[in-house]
Amino acid sequence: MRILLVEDDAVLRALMLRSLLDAGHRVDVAATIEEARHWWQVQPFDAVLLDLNLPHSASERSGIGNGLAVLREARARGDRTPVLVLTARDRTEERIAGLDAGADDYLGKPFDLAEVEARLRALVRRAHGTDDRVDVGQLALDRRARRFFLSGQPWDLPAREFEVLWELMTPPGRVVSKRDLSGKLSEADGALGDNALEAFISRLRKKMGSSGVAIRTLRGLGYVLEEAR
Amino acid sequence: MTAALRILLVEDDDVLRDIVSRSLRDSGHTVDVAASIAAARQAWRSKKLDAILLDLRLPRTGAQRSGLGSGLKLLLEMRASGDRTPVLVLTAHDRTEERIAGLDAGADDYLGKPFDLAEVEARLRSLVRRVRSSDERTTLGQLALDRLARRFFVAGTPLDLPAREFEVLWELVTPPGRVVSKRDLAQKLSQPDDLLVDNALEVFISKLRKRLATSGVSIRTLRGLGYCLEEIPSL
Repeated sequence: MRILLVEDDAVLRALMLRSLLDAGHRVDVAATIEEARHWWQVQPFDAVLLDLNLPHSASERSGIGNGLAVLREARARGDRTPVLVLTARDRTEERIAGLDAGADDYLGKPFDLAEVEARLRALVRRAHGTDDRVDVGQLALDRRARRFFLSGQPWDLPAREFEVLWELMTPPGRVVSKRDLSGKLSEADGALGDNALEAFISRLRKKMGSSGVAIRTLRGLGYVLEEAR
Repeated sequence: MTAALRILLVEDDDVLRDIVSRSLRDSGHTVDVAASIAAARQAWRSKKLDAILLDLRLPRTGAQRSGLGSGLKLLLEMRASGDRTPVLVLTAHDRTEERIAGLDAGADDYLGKPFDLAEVEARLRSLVRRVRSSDERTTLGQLALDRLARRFFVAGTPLDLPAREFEVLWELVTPPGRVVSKRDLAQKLSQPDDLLVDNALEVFISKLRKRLATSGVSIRTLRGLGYCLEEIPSL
């Protein structure tokens, strides 16, 4: 999954970043209100982990702002990215205010990273109407193990191909446009081009071979994963 | 504000059940209660619910010596059967690994006891918002569907459709852009004694296409796959 991690504490941010990367996610980080606002507007995410007490900007005297302001702005422009608030502001009325500002979940610090992962999975299930384990023909995805299985055997894929296939199975049968894919897989220095994307699709197709599942191109619409007939 | 919800409250402690159900009713919700696994299963299966508040340690049945069952097993069983009703677990089992097990069993949220009723309601609001956000109103081009109203609109004017055409269009906008196979449509539309044949389906699609002529959307045929509703790019 592509995750925006908003946290101003450098130690905690590094710890969470490591844990999320180890779990196989692609992570963008923001340490200030300004950075969070910027990333949230330019990049599609599967989920946002949002701290609340944040400096307005990187300048030393910018003062402390509230991450809920960024959340409210996003919701006001119709953005529905799942948001998990992670904060030391953990009194009941603060939790209620966070949820009512548009947060999907709210966890007080200190938290357990394994619980953060479990709550992220729950948000993604709900946001995409999918399950932790999904099957298309002989191909299966286990979101908990972050692993694909082909004909019952673990099937390990390079990071980019993994992400493409993940999108195609979230949920299965979804028509994924090239724009969605290149947005989700883009790097800080630019969007992923059509040629690169087609190369990933073509490699996936080769590896799937005669496994009974196929990636079909729908002209003008994108790609869809289906059982081969 | 949240619309009134239909909530199933599964809790075996009489006092707590009364307090929570009273509070939810005061907020305008309709509340069904269950005090055992068997009663919860029955209500869960037979009613169309917006959300479930689920305790985990519950007697198996209403009988006095039925022994304890697991709400988690019931949740797993319901999810395995394809049920996606939003579930908020409320329990004294509040260790981190228990929370993780609950979420991974298919719970949407998990709150330890003792909890604050105002927070339960806020979490319900958030949960239902998440479920309904993609759900309540869908627009594509000039075409809109209000799911609560079960009504289509073209450019703001209600488009009233014969039932079967309505069902076809509903499937095509849920969610918009989904490729719907003929087989799925035929199954959705068939009566118990009357399987819908391809020809009939094509007639409905053709009628819908005529009605949608000015709506800025069109039904595209994807050979071998089915149909897909898409927006006509404006010139």
